[in-house]
Amino acid sequence: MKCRNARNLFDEMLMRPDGPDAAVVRAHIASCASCQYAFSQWQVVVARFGQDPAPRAPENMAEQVLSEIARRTEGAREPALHRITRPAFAGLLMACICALAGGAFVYMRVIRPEQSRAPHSAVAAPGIPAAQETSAPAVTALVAQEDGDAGLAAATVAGRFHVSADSIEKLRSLYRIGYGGINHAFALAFHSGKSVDEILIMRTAHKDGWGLIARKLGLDPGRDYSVPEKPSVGTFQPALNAGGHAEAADMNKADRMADRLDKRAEQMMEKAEKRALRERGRN
Amino acid sequence: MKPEQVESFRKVVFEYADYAYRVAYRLLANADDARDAVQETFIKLYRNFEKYDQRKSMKNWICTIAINTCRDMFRSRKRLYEAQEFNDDVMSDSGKASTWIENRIFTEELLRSLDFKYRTVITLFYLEQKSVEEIAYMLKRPKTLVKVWLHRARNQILKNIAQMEGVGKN
Repeated sequence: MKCRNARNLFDEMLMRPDGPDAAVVRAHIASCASCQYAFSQWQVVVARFGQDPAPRAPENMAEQVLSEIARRTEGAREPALHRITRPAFAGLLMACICALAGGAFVYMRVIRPEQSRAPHSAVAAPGIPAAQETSAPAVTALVAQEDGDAGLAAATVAGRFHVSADSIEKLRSLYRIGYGGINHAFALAFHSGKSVDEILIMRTAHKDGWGLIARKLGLDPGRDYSVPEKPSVGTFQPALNAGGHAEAADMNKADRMADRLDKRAEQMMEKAEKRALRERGRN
Repeated sequence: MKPEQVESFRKVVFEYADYAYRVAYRLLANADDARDAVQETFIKLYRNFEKYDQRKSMKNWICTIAINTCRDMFRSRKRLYEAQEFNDDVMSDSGKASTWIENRIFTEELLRSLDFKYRTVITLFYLEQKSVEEIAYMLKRPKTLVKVWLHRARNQILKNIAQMEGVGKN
């Protein structure tokens, strides 16, 4: 038997001194001085292991363990806000926000540019910068007139909507709005059936844009309402169709509408004047 | 975890905390580290308590977790735990009748002089009286490898003792 094999059987020999392997190992030990010495040492080691007192745990070990577990598990349930403030969470959140913003930008600018621009161009057309676009030729002409000759601009609006130029001037001074704005208010009133006063209040007091006003009135904000019917710069022929054939019934209807608008404008002017007088009296 | 499981976990902690400490102390040879290892062991047990297979031994499961925890701690603090030179003073009176303290120090020093894996198999085989099969199951290693480790551990111990005897003679 080799020394290596004999030493592997030291434990077997110690546990079962009468076993079959024990005799072979004993014979080897008798003939091998080094294994004899190793076995004697090993006997001491095993005897000491057997006598080794078990290490004593500190008092209240179990309680300490349980309290530590309670503390750590409470710590695991931290508020959601704390989790958000963690760097990884915050980074992820920022990445999501950036991705959403980028997606929205691409959608508005690239995929549907016409929808995103429409409310700013066609709706805001009357009277102001967008008036130079082709969608509002009537207003373009009106602005040009306003720049040059205020009387002509007032007469144009008055002529389009069959109201007096004086009413136009009164509305202009009352609401502090240009001829283009008054023109558009008349046009929206014409198409929606609402009063010009209501529309001008929406525009001046509520600061609504023309697109928003059109939406509120149930009209298409993308359409050019700067004239009562089809655009015809400088003239107002609401009853004429494209072929130039006038129909008496339509003409009468347009006249009645214009009269009604005129009356309403006058009534509103009177109301406004009375209101102004009352306010002055209070002050 | 359900209330009844929490209660049964409490019982397990009270029953096996000392045992886990004993294993951890023998592997780490440091009271503070052993206490930390025990706490870590039972926290791992708590998180996986619902996975416990009733057919298997809870004691062996806890022992396995404790060994793995101690191994992790040993690795993270390897510089502190690295196998140390055998303390000659301890063995100088090995032939004489041993006292309680001597035995404690002897075992500690003997284990501390071994690599972690040899320390583990010696602890389980000689001090916790586990069979080779049980050790192999707990360490998830083949039985033959456990036997090899035991053989090498024994040789290492005998070598340490022989060196000490040589020093003592000189």
